[in-house]
Amino acid sequence: MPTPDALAREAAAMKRYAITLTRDMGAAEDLVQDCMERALHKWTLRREGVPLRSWLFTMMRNLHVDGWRRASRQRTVSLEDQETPPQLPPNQEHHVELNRLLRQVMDLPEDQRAALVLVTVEGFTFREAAQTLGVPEGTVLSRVSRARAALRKATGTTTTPKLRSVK
Amino acid sequence: MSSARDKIREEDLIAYVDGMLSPERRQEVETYLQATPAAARRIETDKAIAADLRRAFAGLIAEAPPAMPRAARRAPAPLAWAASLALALLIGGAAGWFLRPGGAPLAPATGLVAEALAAHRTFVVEVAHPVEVTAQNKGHLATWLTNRLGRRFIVPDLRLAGLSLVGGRLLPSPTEPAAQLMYQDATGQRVTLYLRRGSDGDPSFRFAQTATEQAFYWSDTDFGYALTGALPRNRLLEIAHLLQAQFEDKGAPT
Repeated sequence: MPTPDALAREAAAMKRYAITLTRDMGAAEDLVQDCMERALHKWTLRREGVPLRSWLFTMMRNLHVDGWRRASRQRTVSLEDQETPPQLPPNQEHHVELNRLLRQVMDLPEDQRAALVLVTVEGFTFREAAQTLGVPEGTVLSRVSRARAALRKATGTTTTPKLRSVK
Repeated sequence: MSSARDKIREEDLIAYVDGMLSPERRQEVETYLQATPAAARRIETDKAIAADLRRAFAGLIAEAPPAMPRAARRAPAPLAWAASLALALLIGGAAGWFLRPGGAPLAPATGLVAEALAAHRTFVVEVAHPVEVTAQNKGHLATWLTNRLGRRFIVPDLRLAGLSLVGGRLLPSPTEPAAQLMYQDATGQRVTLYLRRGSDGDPSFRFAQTATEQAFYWSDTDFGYALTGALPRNRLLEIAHLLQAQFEDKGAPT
């Protein structure tokens, strides 16, 4: 019996990863829904020992790649769909700085973006991220390294005021 | 010493930001950073960017929470339960708010709450070893604390408040052994619950604060509790209500 509860607990993490992959809020929600349906369908096929989140994220990335392939084969660029890039509304604190960072992250190559978000936002170990992305740990490390270097450069010398001194 | 510094590599600096180094390696990196201001500045920038990125994603989710899986929408029970508990929290929260009118001068923290604040400050910043027993061994944590605290102990679940368990540890206190449980939200913001035998007999929520943290503390028949975190007071009080309800439900000392 699939457990929607267990899935529901992963919903926020799935949405974050879907945003990372699609760079669009509407497409991300669709991807989360597709992935949840697929997960409920395939629940019994889940192998023991694979963490749920890794399993879901791998499935989501496959769905994302499939969808992108299909779309490019049909050459239907979704011009009619209004795209909504991931941005915070003005009522959220520090939205200007955070939105600038979101744009910079979304501009990174997908490989780097996914590795960075898995490790930094989702708290995956390098090993877990490697397992999820299907690449060696060293590759995850170098992707995160390149992503950080690019963001550091984009951020320039302006340091965030929220910074706490490292003891 | 300098030979260890020479060996610090890019991968150490990346893993350091994410708190994934062993304590020994972490120490070596810190020694290196103290001697290398440029690298230290870089690490500070990376850490700030990482924290901002977590905040940005948390903000996006808050703005557009994911819909439930379509199959799960047919199962209304957990949602109804969550809604009623959320309502209970709202009422409880309002009651707590009135019990303690704002502006009253706060006495300096002493006793249980002072211990809790000190323990919070010590461990909440810890990257490598924030807890002794992690959430993965929750069953063991419960058994261990049951034995050491001398009470039936069930690890409270705060997922309804958006907090996941990091783990817990046993601590010495001036009187009895104390336990600290740590939880964190999606942005990595941490709160701790501190508890030990020794009640002041007052079940109402009382408030204490320092420059950086706030705490609510209360007692039941045998135990005193303190919830500490750098969260808005309302939010902290909600969590305290959630905790008190769970201890009354399941873990009340007999």
